[in-house]
Amino acid sequence: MNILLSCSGGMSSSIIAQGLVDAAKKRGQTITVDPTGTDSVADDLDNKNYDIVLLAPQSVYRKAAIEAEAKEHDKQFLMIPRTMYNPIQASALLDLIEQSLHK
Amino acid sequence: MALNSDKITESMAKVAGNRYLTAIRDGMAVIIPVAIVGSFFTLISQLPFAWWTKLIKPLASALATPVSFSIGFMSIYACFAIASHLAATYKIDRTSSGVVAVMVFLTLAIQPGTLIPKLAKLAHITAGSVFPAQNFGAYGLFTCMLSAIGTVEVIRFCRARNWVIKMPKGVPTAVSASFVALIPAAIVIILAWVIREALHFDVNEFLLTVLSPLGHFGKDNFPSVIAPILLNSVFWLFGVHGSAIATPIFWPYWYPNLNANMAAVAHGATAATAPHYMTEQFFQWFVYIGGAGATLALCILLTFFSKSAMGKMMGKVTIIPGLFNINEPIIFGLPLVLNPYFAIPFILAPLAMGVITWLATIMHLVNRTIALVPWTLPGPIGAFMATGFDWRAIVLALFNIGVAMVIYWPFFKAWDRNQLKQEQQAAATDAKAANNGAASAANNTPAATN
Repeated sequence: MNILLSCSGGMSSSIIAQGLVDAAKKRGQTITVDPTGTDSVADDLDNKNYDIVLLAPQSVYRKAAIEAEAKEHDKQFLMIPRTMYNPIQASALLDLIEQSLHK
Repeated sequence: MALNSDKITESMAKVAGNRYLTAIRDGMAVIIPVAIVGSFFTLISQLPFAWWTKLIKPLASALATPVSFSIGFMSIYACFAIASHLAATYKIDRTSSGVVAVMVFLTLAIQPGTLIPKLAKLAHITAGSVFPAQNFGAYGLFTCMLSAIGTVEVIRFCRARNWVIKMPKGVPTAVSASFVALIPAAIVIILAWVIREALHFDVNEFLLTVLSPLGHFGKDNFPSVIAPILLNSVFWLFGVHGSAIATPIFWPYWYPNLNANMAAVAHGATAATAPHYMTEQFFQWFVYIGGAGATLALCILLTFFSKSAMGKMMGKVTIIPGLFNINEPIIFGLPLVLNPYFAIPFILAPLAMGVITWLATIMHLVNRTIALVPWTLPGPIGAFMATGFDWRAIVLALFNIGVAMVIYWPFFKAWDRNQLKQEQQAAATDAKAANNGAASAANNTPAATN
């Protein structure tokens, strides 16, 4: 599974990305989560094949644009709920990602 | 209540998500690496050793060159980047939009002059065209933003109406792309030229005058300390990245101040005698220690003073990112967003730190910031560097963390107590269930044997 995880600048998303990878490892899964900033999402989607695009809650002001970008590339989009944007909730977030991928 | 706060978040997101504001924010971010490297050259001259100062004195003008070409030329870089980001949102060619925008900016903001050989000899520079440097830097920022946005909008307007030169099939796409940009480029550049040379209208002066009311919140005065902090905390409390709105509003004032400080240092001033204290670094190193809301203090309280398991765990997860000023884990983890327990200190702590820093600064107890250093440095180290290696800045940063801890303390205690109570209740319920289970198991056993 390839996940693109965007926050505003790519800093906090790197923490959450690590959390997701660890949570998946505990389940015996291998996933790739690339942290990025909202201004690079379009390029990232052009360059690599992702299954889903996640957006950090504080970057909600870019939601419309990122969602459109994901749609244009035919990718799933998920706005991370506020309660799940911290490494402790990584496992719950992983569940949510899988749910939205198998919808 | 929940519905209300969602609405507030939504409208904040709408303001911050404005296409132009976002392009400005993303475009201005491009300057940061250049400005940081330029700052190193300012800082080199400020190392606090007498022998070093003596050693590098002859190099002063050489050291000033990268400073002039980094933050001193920021409007050029920002103009290209803002136009390019905005063009990307319209799916218009980024590079050609950026280049045209820079030319429009230059036409509007820079008045070339000629240096005659006689004067050139005196000044030890080559005779010919000369350009006054001021508007290349932060003083040109508003014109830079207007040029970038205006250019991209004109290109979009022309494309929507098909006012473009179409090349016959078989012409390479790169070639035809350059012709697509030709008509809009001509329109917007000629327009800029008419404004400047025919109407003699100084767009930069005009924008600075019109937008001067905003400037009251970006100058060396008390409201400029308070307003950005309030705005930042309130945005974050509703879960929206504060800098998304603060960057386009305040940075056009903070950058000229920093630029002036760096220029003053290049001309022999020190961080103690630099002209301005109101820069973005003032907030970065003395107020937002640990991130918006000065949350490092709260991370410390959680790590070392929590009685609840949740608090201890939160402390462990948030304190390391917090040291490097990344605080989304605590903002969304604890959470601080929309949390009545912490809304008050989240606003009060940074406000108090801002006021203390302001007092310390105007009483000359601490140097002014003369450099832009990476925001991911731990607070006191960044404060030390940004102030030209002033040890008092470390003391102030640590003192401010202490103040924030005191302000967060009662709210932290109330939260921790509540958390602990919940945990104990949960544990008691579990124990009861386990006891019941054991009891019923014990009851069942004899029944089974009978």
